[in-house]
Amino acid sequence: MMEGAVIHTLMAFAPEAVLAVVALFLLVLGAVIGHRSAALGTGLAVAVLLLGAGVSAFLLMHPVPEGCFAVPSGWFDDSYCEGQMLPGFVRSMLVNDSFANFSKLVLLLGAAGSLLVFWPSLKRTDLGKPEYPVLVLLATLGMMVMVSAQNLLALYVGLELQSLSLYILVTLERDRPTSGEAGMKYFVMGAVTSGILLYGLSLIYGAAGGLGFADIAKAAAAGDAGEGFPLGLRVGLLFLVAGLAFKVAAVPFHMWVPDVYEGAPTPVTAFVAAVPKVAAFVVLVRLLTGPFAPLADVWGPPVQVMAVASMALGALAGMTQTNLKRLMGYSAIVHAGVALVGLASLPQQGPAFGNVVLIYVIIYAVTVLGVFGILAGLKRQGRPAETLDDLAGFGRSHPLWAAAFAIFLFSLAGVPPLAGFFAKYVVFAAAVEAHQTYLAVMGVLASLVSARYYLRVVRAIYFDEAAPGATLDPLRSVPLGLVTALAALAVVAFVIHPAILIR
Amino acid sequence: MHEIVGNATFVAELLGPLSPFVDVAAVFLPLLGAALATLAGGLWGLPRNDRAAQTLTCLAMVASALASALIFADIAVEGGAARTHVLAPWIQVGALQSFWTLRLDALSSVMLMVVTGVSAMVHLYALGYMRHDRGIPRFMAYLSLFTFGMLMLVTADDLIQLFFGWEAVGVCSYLLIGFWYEKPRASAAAVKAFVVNRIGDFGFILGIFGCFALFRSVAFGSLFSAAPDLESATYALGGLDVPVLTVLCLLLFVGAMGKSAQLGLHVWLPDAMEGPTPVSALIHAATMVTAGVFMVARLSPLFEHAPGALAVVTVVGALTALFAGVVALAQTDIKRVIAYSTMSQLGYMFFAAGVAAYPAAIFHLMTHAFFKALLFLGAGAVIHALAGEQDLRRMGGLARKTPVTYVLMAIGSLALAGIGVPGVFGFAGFYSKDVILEAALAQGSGVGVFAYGVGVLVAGLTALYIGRLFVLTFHGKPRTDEAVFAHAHEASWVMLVPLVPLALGAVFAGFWGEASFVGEGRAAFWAGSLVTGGAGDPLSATHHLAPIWTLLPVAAGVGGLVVAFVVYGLFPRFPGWVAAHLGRVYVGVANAFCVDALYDAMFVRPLRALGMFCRETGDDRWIDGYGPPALARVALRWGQRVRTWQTGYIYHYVFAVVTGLVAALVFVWSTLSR
Repeated sequence: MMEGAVIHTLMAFAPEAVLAVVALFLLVLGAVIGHRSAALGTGLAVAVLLLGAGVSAFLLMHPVPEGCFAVPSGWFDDSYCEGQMLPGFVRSMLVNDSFANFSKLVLLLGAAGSLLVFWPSLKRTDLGKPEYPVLVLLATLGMMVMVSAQNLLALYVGLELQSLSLYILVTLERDRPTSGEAGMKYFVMGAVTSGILLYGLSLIYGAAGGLGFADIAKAAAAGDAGEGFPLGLRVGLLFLVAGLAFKVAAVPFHMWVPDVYEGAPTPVTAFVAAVPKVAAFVVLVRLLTGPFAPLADVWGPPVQVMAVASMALGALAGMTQTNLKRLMGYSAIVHAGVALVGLASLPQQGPAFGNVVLIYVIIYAVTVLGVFGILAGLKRQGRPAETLDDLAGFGRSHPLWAAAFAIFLFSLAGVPPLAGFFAKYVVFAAAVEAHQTYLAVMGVLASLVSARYYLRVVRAIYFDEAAPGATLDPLRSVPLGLVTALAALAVVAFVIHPAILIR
Repeated sequence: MHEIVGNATFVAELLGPLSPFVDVAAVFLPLLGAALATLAGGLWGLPRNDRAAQTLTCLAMVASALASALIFADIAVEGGAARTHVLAPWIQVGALQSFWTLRLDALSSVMLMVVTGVSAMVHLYALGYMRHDRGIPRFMAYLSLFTFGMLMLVTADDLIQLFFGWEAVGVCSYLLIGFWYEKPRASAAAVKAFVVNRIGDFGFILGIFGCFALFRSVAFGSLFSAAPDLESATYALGGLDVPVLTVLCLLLFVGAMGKSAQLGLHVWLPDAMEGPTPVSALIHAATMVTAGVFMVARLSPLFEHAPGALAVVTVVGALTALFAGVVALAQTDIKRVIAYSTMSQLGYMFFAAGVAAYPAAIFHLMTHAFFKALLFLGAGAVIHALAGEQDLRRMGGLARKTPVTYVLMAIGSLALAGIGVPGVFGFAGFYSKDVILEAALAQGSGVGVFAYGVGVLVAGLTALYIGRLFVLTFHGKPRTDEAVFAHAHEASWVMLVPLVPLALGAVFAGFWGEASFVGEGRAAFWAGSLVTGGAGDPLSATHHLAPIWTLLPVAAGVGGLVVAFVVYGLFPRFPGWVAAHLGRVYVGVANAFCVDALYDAMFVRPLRALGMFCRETGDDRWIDGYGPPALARVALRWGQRVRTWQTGYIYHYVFAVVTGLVAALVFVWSTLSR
């Protein structure tokens, strides 16, 4: 059955496999025909990402028993799994459960969306390069490995694959010094935290005697049973959390965020801001509700501290920003803090609440993709519009785009009945139920303060007059409009069925 | 829904299946007219067309009046079947079920006829009166919208729709009083009317809530069928057992007091005369202000079981009639005299309802609509003739200049004064006022006798003040500027023609209507739409009165007119001499007993002081000083500070990471001891 198993394995992770192959193919294509392949590659990449999303959606709707792979011949047959188990080494590394499939669906759609956002930039010689879609594909691949990892090694490999791709993406606009500086900072900070994370993994390995989540769960259960948790497990856990906190932009591992958000080319910022967060939170939820669930007393308080610090610092520091990308960076820190509030109530709310935290992050990702998508397309006299002043008169010159932009900002501020309101409401309500009322209070205060900077932007859009002769350039892009419209629709229409959060 | 259970009437046969459409058209054509006038006013960038707005609203209104005439002929004249059209559900929340309905029975068909008839005449009159105004489409739209609201009010089948119409006419009244909004006095009067009505509405709303709480329904049918069983039900209020229905009816009556300008909540009506004169005629004389009377009549099966509330209604009505009658004597503004007269006549209607003579109240409502609209529109013609002059002291001698207006005003005045020869013929007010006074006396209760006494006195006062108005306007020497007087002219035919039907009504409406409205035929006429034989059946009891009591009101009316002509016509100095010797009493009367000043001192100024305190000390000093703005300043200061932590130096960044790790290690170390 070995050949069959290999084939099944490949089919089980078909989206990943195709992504890898296409990425390599595009790399070759770019090397052969040069710049002209950028548009072709981007289109192909979008197609592959959407195809993968379709497969993930299918697997989500037809859940597969654990360790098993859905084979076309027996989809609706209870016995289809017989003899077609995934090989043991794969099962020890990766899992294809519905949580993973749902996450992959989101990641693939998010990546496709950010490639569409990139579309108008294809015309730019400094940015419209063939390596762009390749790097996005590889980063997405890394994230897909992260979300299905069942082993710390797989997790680390996935994490590094996406990190390295992102470093390059951030520096893609080589001619602009800030882009290089941002990439440099991102890389150095990423390397430092990657080292910390790796060190944590080694400590866990030492304490648990293995890198598989099952090994860790065994060690943790033993510790819970009365022996006490080994020191290595505790310290390793916190180092691991620190490494992931860097990815989600939580204080004090947040310092890279404003610089990278501002320095990176805007389409890249859209990708960096929206998609990797989802992957990192999926991993956090998986680890903290899974193998590390018994160690809630160890990770709980630090997560709470990070939550409070992120919300406070992000809300305060963002207030006086005039650069929108930087401002959105601080907004990201606040939202990371709110999501951490959700994580902090996991021990009381139970593992199922992890889905709610995830949906919070997804709503944020959709919204922020819309914001950066519009910013990526917006230019004032050929120059990217990035500051508050640049947006003056936006509401008058581009009423529809501006309306979508305002919807996103209001959702970020948590104004009912938009999606952002429900997301925050559920998280804070859970915190109150979990007797962490102070987190909810802090969250509401942070939302209040941060509302100021979203409203400042809205004011600039609708009430400030553009300087004479300095109006915004016309913005016409079907892919960009598609992403923006879908995101705005999602944010507005969420009110129809908010029960997916409440449930 | 359209079921013939009564006689197959001529109108019903004539219309056949069209009948429901006519019913709907009568109510909704004015709304259509208002919408079209709004469009013609230049909405959505359409070209503005004053002529189109006038034509469309007038056509719609006349058509509505014709449809109403058909309904009136069918139901009221020929005794056709009453019917209720359910148009659409409105509020459906548990037991609270409210529908948009057209309830057409004898009572609402009478109201329909009065409202659309007067409204149509006023629409036509406004063509001339408002000819030079800048806001013609707006005016016509408001006027039609008002009519629609009034029709919704009178065709309601539950308290909620009644309240809808009630508020709709309130809003339109506000808009029309303040129609010339650039005049500060008009704006202030509009606000005052609205606010005072809100106070009445508060009672009304409480009454509706109470009805729903008690009956679990707001539909008239359920209320009326359940009311007899609840007559003895009581609320325990502070050790007293208060009859439930009396409480509810009093609350509802508070609403009626606001809308119908009864004593206490009357202060807005004289000020409402700041609106254009057609508005005064339609809204503040003939229709809207009678809504309170209509409401009491409509709810008569409820009031019938609340004797305490009826007594209050009687006393309030009588006192209002007296108060306004006295005040009207000392007014110098022609429109204010008529306004106080309206208030006084509404008092009559209320005490008629209070002594359970509901048909008499509606009868007087109808005749009053004719002669009061006539008087107002005639006054408008006078004002028009004198280029805007409204002060009686600066009029006089107009009879020669405006003979047609003179005759029309004479008819209106005679009708108001209730002049007639018993048993032969009288003007409209003669029949309706007499039957009210007789019913009050015949009912036999103490409050009834009190109301009769006051009513006779007020009948004299009425004749006196309207005689005064008439003499000062048309007789004697002209006291106007010579230039103005020289240019004084008869109003155009478009303003005079609408007065003719009203004058005919003022002459004949009482004569024609008496038998069916309040006479032998009343039970068949009203067909159960209001209580015709209420407690003590005062209308039947009038036959047993000694003739002297029925002659007294007429004598008072004739006497009042004679006195007015003698005093103001022959001895024009005498009133001034009286006023001078009465001194402060006269000033008090002229200022309507200073109720406005009293309210100002009691409510307005203390509330304003409280408001200023809340604003200056509460908002400016406390909330802005220590509240959100102060917190915002703190947050901004911290924002500036925190921002500087983002130095851009990578070693600072790494330092932050290391700090975090050290903190984590310290935390782990602290948990080890456990």
